[in-house]
Amino acid sequence: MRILLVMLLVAVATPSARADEALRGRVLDLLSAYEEPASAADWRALGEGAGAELYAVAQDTSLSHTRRAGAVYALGFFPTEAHRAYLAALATTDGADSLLRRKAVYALGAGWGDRAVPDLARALAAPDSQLRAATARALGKVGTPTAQEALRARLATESDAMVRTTLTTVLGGR
Amino acid sequence: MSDRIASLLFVASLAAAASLAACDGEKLDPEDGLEREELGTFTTDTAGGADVSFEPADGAVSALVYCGPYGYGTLGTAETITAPDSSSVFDLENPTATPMRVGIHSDILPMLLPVSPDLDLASGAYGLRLYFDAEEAVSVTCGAVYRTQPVEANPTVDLHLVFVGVDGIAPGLTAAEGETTLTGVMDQVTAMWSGGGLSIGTVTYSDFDGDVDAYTVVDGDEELGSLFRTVNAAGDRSITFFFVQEITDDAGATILGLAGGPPGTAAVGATSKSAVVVTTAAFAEDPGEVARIMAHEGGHFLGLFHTTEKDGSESDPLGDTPECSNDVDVNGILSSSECGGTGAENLMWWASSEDSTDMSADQGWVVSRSAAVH
Repeated sequence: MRILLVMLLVAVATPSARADEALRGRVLDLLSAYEEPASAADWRALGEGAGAELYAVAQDTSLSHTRRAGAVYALGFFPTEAHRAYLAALATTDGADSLLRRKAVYALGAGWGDRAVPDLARALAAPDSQLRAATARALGKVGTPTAQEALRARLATESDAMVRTTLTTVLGGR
Repeated sequence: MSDRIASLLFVASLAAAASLAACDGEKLDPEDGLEREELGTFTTDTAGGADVSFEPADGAVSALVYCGPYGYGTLGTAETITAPDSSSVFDLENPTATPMRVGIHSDILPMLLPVSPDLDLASGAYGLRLYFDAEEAVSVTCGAVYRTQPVEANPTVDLHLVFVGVDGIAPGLTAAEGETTLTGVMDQVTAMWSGGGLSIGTVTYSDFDGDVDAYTVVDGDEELGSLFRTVNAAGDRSITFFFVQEITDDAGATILGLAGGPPGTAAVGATSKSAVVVTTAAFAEDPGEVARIMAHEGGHFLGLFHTTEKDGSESDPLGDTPECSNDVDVNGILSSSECGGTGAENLMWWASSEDSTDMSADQGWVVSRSAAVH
């Protein structure tokens, strides 16, 4: 009886597990492109479940930094509330991985636009100069008056030459 | 130079010693076996094209033709290339009809002829019609580097690795671990390229001596171009690999690696296609990925195209690299699992995986035509 039950469970579970594995493989493939990051259309082509899989990849510490970074960035194509909360926490937590934080600010800007400005403004004050530069670019792409105001406010206090150059460029000053 | 880089330099020089012996330890004469021609300055006509002529030196085995600079807001390519006997070498209207490929590029348009053993470099004058997608007239300066040196039995390429704000390339690793890992990366690149008969010769290393903060994270085409223009390749035929923390596109997405080209402007001088850049974010946990990025992007620099593009729209012109069209799930993306055995194992596959490490004999034939190879 127990054997029959196990066989039944395996029969039921295997197709789903195979589908999950196949989707994970396709997601990792798109995250492994050498030169051309996957587009929104590419992610849509993977069908339902791609966003959830990216969310899982983003948090899977057994995977390489570059795969996780790609997944964090791509969450901006799947703007759910859970993804926004994850990205906002990542972007605004000092001491978190610098690369993943940079991807989080781009994803927030692309996925939530003006709604992301408060979180991006916090990231714009982080000690990490590369994060501040990335956040400046993300805010520049948001491009709303609120985003512009956050950029101008930071420019007034920014002391790092590289970040100042980025802020000036984003604000159209070159 | 930091102590850490100095230490890496020492270890790497030991690692390179074996391959130095293979080319007798002599530094390559930058002009040896190359002939250069200035083709002139050309302005586009009302149809957006310009006609250029080039005539390979007698006995030449390959020609690197390049035109530019024309900036980043304009894309350029070849509309047609015509052989001395008036046959078509390339036609943009039907780009896969002949075994020639020309990319679409911003700022500098480079072309390597031939890019397949099925195409000969003939004696006589070639006709090249350029095309730019600009609304206003574009003016470009064109030149050519002809490889007159016979291809050696053991084609070899020298590398120059430049560290840009990556603190010994592996934050979080001890110096000893970093040295061991770097040596392992070079060994893996050597192994991948050996499939095509290509060897690594002299390997030199340095810290970037420009604005490190500006290029630690390379953001977008213009920044990449200005980084590549810091390479003074005129007197040096090695390939420069910049190791940076990260490369991003203009929207902020991470890019694993980028090469000038294909092909890069080997032995030409400081252009926006003069080098290769590698994201090192995974160096500590997955050095194999860094090795694959180096081998793949180095392949582009030396003239190789993707075996099959992600959407299957294009493939390389080589007869011994598999072409994949097996889009089982019909989603418009050729995945590595769909193309297992039909291209995904090749180092010029569009995506990086542990299995994409093969280099074919034809690919070896192409890279040995690059001006960077001796």
